Formats: sequence, structure tokens, C-alpha cells
Amino acid sequence: MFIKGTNKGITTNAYGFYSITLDKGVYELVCSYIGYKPCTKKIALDKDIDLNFKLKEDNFLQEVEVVAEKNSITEQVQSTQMSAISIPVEQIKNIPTIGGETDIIKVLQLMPGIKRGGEGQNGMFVRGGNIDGNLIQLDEATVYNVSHLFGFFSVFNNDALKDITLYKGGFPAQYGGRLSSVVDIRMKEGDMKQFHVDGGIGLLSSHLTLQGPIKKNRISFLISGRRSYIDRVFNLAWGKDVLPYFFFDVNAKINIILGAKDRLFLSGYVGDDVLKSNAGDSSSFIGGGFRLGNLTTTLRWNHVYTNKLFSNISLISTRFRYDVEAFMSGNSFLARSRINDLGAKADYNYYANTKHTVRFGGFYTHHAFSPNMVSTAGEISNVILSRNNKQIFTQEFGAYISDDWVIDSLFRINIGARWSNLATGNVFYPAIEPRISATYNFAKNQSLKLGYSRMKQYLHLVSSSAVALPTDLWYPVTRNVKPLVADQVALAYNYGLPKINSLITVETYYTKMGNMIDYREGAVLALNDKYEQELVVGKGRAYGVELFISKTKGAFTGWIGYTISWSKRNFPALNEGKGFLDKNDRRHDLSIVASYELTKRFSVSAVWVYATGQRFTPVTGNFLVSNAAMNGVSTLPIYSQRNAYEMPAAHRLDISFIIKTRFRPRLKYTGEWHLGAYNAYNRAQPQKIAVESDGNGAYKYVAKGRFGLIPFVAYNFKF
Amino acid sequence: MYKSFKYIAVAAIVAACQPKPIDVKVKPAPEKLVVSSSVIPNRIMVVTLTRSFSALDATANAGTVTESQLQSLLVKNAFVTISYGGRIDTLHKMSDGVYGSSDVLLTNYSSYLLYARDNDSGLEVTATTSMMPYKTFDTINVFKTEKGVCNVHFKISDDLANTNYYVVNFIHKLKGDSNRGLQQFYTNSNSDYENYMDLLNDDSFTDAVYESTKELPSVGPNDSIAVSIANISQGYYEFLSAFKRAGNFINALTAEPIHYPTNVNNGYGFFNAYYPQVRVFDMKDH
Repeated sequence: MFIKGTNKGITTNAYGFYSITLDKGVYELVCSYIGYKPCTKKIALDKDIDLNFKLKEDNFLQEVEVVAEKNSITEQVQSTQMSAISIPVEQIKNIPTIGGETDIIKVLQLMPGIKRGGEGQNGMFVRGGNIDGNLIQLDEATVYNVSHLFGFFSVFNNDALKDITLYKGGFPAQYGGRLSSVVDIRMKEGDMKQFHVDGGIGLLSSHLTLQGPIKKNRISFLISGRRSYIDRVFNLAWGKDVLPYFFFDVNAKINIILGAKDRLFLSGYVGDDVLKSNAGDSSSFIGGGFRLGNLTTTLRWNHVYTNKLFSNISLISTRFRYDVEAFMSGNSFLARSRINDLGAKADYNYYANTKHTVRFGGFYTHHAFSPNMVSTAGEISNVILSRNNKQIFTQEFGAYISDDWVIDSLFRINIGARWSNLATGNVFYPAIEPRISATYNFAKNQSLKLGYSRMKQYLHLVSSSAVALPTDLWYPVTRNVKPLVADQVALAYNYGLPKINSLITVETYYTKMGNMIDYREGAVLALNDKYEQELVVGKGRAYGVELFISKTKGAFTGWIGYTISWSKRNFPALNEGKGFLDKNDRRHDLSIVASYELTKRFSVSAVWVYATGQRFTPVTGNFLVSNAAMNGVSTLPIYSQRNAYEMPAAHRLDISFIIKTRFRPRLKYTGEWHLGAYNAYNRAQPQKIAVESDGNGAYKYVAKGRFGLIPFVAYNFKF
Repeated sequence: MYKSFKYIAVAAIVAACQPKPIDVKVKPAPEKLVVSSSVIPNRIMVVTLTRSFSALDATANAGTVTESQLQSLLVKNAFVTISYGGRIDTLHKMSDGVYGSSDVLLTNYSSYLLYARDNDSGLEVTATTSMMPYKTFDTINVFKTEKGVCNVHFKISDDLANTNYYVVNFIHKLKGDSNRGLQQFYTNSNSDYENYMDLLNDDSFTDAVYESTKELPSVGPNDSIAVSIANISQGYYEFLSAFKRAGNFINALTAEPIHYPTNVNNGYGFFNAYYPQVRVFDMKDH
């Protein structure tokens, strides 16, 4: 939102509320939001007024469009926010991915500073951090498990989402609890005027979304569902349940306008991964399965107290669960884990004047962790004992305040702090987390930004690096496991080219991480309820330079993201106390995303990614050793130094062609076909290291990928 | 349309390509000598020498080590000495890979320096250890529960004057028809024996006494078991702890990478000197 002919402007909050103080006079106010046509209103201002804008979708912007912030190019250059990426979900639907279904997490992985994990997986490693350093929220509710199918799909169904914002530095004071990044995902609110249906049929899953008014201009709803049918496809191909696996998601939201100053939102999400062998019962030879997923509910109340004070009060609950069961020849095994969070947040925006926008609030979350409850029967119960571990309760609470201060036309600063606390048992961890970022607009459409953030993290993911299991568990900090802490400094240069809707950003960062945890050598994490004994404490540091060039409008759109970075660790108990590179220290990371609209009905999109290989610790030899009873020998491995080797670089090309069906005005129906291929030139994306015969009687190390070329086709429709 | 999509999906799976693996250059671990040692009845110091092998060696990729492969790893021509208290004793070859001497004087807490050279490969190692004092059970007895499960009850006392580490081994000799089922995947055992190992340190003791009952469910009524105890060095205790944690079949697959502790310079394994007390029980008598 800005005043035409001046340098005055303001950004709305996430709910669209804004307040701007001006002298009496005549003004032209321009409101813009990416993906929508700008709207201009002329006003003669002689008293306080309420002015609402209703933006229309810009049909021209059907292609890839990603911006570094929600506002115009100029606002992005001038704002104090740095290290943030905002993506309107509608704008990324053409990006090719596995199965033809765009995945917002995988799109984020194409951004500079964000490393992906293994091939096809949804793990993110942001600026040298770990996978558990990302706080991912859906309508403010924490989502603990963000993946389906062991990471190949995210749990976020695009049809139900409005936008996604990722902060990888310069963290606003209202966010905290993780070291590396915050991903704030907002669901659509449901159309207050018209009924809509969106849907799609893909190779692996289908989805359908309904939205519309319950009471026109007062109450709207949205419900969206998605289910995979990999199980059915395999059944069709082989005539039996080769892979009895499926996942599903349901998102729902109700949006109620209570009055001119009050609005209520109730939103929820439920999604599970289900693998259930049809073998039946414990008398069968072998069988089992798992069920894991999230359930979130958010109730939010927006209230406008005055034309300068806005509040959002939220009640939030999250449940994450996993159940894993197996049975074999009279043995049975069941492992269950739960996390139940119940919390509240109050967030206030105070628009004091044109120079100061103050944001403050408080939060409280009660966490209940029930990890690794195991029930076994049969012979296996002799080696895996049944146990019903005690629940672990923690309380996370605190408050924050920040002021976005426009010092003059050249300088802006956002200064704030977050007071966070965690209480568990009789242990109490308080912390002050300073947050500051400043912008110097030294030339037209050019700025320098400098930011500093301290982040604290009060829980961590216990996850084996040796083998991917569905039993990765979240644990809170304890008396012995201290909160993780990170200090990050970032410096950015921004150059906006508004005439061609382009932005160039070069950003460098340095992050120092303390109280980091890793696992002692030989740690066995699967089903280990004494995991604290397996942890070792150390520190890390990460630094790098990121380049981001984007073009957001026109027939040709896309971006280039490049990162050169280092991520180092130092743990006295690991690698003989010598420092080592992190597994995800991937020196070079390049993403090129391009989309071109050939005609109004035909478009082509392509993604090319290149990344230095992940680091790994291979077994380089073996030795035989007598056991303690001296009645036999065992073969033990010899490992290299920790993460001493680098897998071959991963690079691939994904392409898609989008063919829109003819518009049928009477039905208001539009459809589009997505045809394309993942990994078009069939290059292995190194995922794991194996030793194989070279065919001449000798052996060699090889890096294997999961997928080669995978063609896809999908059909999406809307009416 | 749904059905059509399923057919298209099947076609896509069929059309999907498996990418060719990419060769990776990894420097194999250089061959080194591996030391194991013990003091056997009659107080003979015995050192076993083998050679480590590359992960690209056929032995590493055979699944199990065959007798012929084991033979090829044994050091057959070595010069081995033990230095202590100003004297040097040469260990004599007892069999391929096994060197020993009854001349070595074993004195509690004395320091012993091992030197070994493989005359064929030229590989050399040295290692230093101390002779640990002989440790015995205060009491030990074996009984069967009402369900017929073998239990071993034992009690030991700690020497409060020193920091001590102990290993207690339970050895069940398997018969030809023994069915160990799932347990073989969870124990650090070989095919002929079922071994259980308890490791104790000073923290395990209450008022300098450790008392425990070990259940051995797979021991049959006609089987026999051996139970041993030994006072071991801290270094060997840490080696065995790592071995117990990550050495079995299941854990070897799921555990984090590990560098096994060693006191062998330029080699692997562990050189130690302890003399266990071994008690043998025939279940027919219990």
C-alpha cells in the first residue's frame, strides 16, 4: 500500500489490515498484491476514514511468480525485512515435480540458502542448520511431520493454501522456537461471494477443493481433500497388494465476519500416511504397517480496536502421532508415539504514526510428549521389552515486541526482542532473543540491509543418519539437554528493476550455533528410550553467499538462485575432537527456474538444479576381533573420518508442458493438462553409497539414486 | 477417467528409468595389523594377530568370513615381543596368527609393551597395557524358574581402592538342533555359541556390592553354560561397550558410524592382559 507520488507506504499484516497516518489533503492510494491487479483509489482526506480494497486476480500472471516479499519490487528493496521468501501458492502450480503435483516445500528447496536432503525428500537444511531447525506452521499450528511417503510429498495440499512465507534470517520478533527457519503457511479463507470447485487428477494422487459462501459476505467455507492411490496402481499392475500404502489430507476452514471490527476463523488439518499389510494377524508369517500424521486446529479472532490497533488472538492445538506395528511368526511389535500441543497466542499491531509500527504479543504452549511406547509379544519380547514411558510435559511461553521505525527517507530499522522460556519439571530456561534489521536506501531502487537475530530451540528430532525409519522422534530439552542457540548476522544488497519486475539480491550470512546435539559414535537410536545417553554436545558455524535473481511478470518468468556455503561442526566427542564438515555442507547449489508462455493456451516450464554432493562417512575397511568370551570372532567396520567424502554432484532437469483447455464461459470451467518429466536426462541423484562388483571380480564404490526419468501427466480443473 | 489414469500411471511406472549408479572414489583403509590378546589358563600370555582388509576386498563383500578367508587374514610369520620391568620376552608362534609365551611374568598393575612385526608385509604395531588383578565371584549359582527358564544369580564385591571395570560373560554352547530364532540378530554371538555380556563399572555397585540375576531363556535342560568374570582396563571396557552397542547384526545396520577405541598404535583391536575366572554349570544338575 503506498501513496502515489510520495515515498510513503505501508505493508498490511497477514490479515490485510493496515493503518496509515497522513495530513489532510488529496491522495491517490495504490494497493497491490502479487498475483492481483493493482487497485488505485483517490481520496480527499479531511478526517479518519476506513478504506477497503478488493483486489481482482490478474489473469495475465498465470506463470511462475516468486518474490522475495509480498509487496512491490520497490517495497521489497525498501523494507527492513530481509532473508525472507514469500510465495503465493497460485503462482507456482506450473513448476514440474514428481508425479505432476507441485509441492511447496520442494519449491522452497529451489531457493538460495536452502539445501534439500536426499532425492525427492522434503527435508530442508537452511543456512547450515539441521532438519529440525525449521518451524513449519499451518495457520499458526506447528506441523511436526511435513512429509508423506517418507518425504516424497509434502503434507500441504496446494488447493487449500493461500501463501507461504519462509524466513531464513532477519527473523521478526513474533517468530521463534527453532534455529534455522520459520515457514508460515496460510490456508485460503473461502470465497465470500461465489462457489468454486478446484480439482486435479494426477498419477499418484487426486485432490478436490470446494469453497464458497455459507452466508454471502458473512460466512464462507473451504474444504479440501487429497488421497494417493499408489496402492491401487500397484494392485492394478500386479493384481495384489504389492504396496498397500496410501496417504490422505483434509483441510477445512470457516471464515466468519462478525462485524466491521471482528472476524473469526476456524481452520483444521488432518493427514495420515497409512501402510497396512493385508497379511492379517499375528499368526501370519509376516506383516505390519504404520500410521503417522498430524491433526491441527486453529481458532483465530481478529479484532480492530481502533483505526491504529489491530489484534489477532489464536487458540491452537496440534497432535502428531505415529504407530508402527509388525508381526512375524507369532511375534508382534507395536511402537507408538504422540505429541500433543495446546496453546494460545495474542498478537497486536499498533500503527502509531507513519514512522512507527509496533508489534507486540505473547504466547503459551503446553507440550505433552509420549515417546516410544512399545508393546511386544512372542519371542521378540525377550529382546525388545514392552514399556509405557512416562509422558514428558513442557511449557513454552513468552512475549515479544518490535518497532518498525522509518527514520527518514534513507534509513529504516526494525528493532525488537523476544523473551522466551521453557519449563520442564523443575528446570526453567529463560532467554532474551534480540532481533534487529536495518535498511539503507542509498540509491533509487537499491538498498543495503543488515540484520542480527538470536534464536533458541527447545526441542529436537532424534533421527538416525544411518537408516531412514518412520520412528524419528521429537524430544524436548531436559535438565541435561540444554536449549540450542544460534546467532546470525546477515548483510544483503538489493537492486530492484521495477520496470521489468525483476529483483536482484546478494546476501551473505554468518551463523554461530551452540548447544548443538549429535549422536555419539555407534549410537543406536531406533526405539531407544534412553536417547539422552546417546547424545553429544558441540557447536557449529555456517556461512555463505546467496544470489537471487527473479523476474515475476510477463510471458517469461522465473528465477536463478545460487549459494556458495560452508557448514562446519565441532564436537569434542566426535571425530577425535577435530572439526568436520556437516553432512549437508554442499558447497555449490544452483537452481534455475523458468517458465515461458508460448500462447495463451500453451506454456512450458523447466527447472534445472545442481548441487555439490552430500558428504558421507564410508566404511573403508574391516577387521576381525575376538569377542570378550574368546570363543569367536566378529567383523567390525573401519570408517573414514566423519563426513570425509563427498558424493558426486546431483543435477537434473525437470520439464513440463501446460495445455489449457478452451474456456467455457457458460460453465465457467477451465482445465489444464500438465505433461512432463522429472529428471529428464535420467541422471542418478546420489542418495546412498554402496559397494558393488565391477564385473571383473573386483569391487567399487558407487552412488545410487532413487529415481531416473519419471514421466508424469496431470489434469487440473476449476469452475 | 479415474480408471484411465490408473492405466496411465502403470504405464508411467513401466516407462520410468532406473538411473545408472555413479562411480565414487573412496580411498580404502590401508591394511594394518589387528591385535587381540588374553591370558589363558596356566597364565600364558597369548596374542592373536590378523590383518585388516579393505571394504573393497572380496572378504568384506562375502557376507560371512569363511574359514579360508580367515586363514588368509591370519599373520603367519610375525616377530612378537613383550617388554616389561626391564626385560623382553619373545612370543612364539603357537599356530597361524597366534603367538604366546608362558615365560611372561604377570604381575598385577605392571605395564607391558607389545611389539609385533609381520615379516611378510612389514607392518608393525605397538601397544601398552597393564595386567589387571584376578577377580572372582563372591557367590554364583544357577537355577531354573517354575517355567524352566535358566537363571544365573551372582554377587561380586568391588575393590574400593581403585576404579574398576568388569566384564561378565555368559556362554551357552549351542547344539546342532538349537533354534536361536530372533535373538541371534540382537546378540554379539557366533554360530556355535550364544554369548551375553554384562559390563560393570563402579557406578554399577551399591555399597561396593553388585548382585544380579541373568535370565537365559534359550538354555535347555540338558545344556551347559559357562560364566566368567574379569577385571578389565578402562580402555577395553570402552571398546567392549562400543562393541556391545553397535556390534550386533541389527545395530550394525542402524547405528551411527563408529571408530572403535583401540590402544594399538598404527593398528586395530585391543591389547589387554586379564585372567578371567570361569565357572561351568551343567543344567542337568540344577
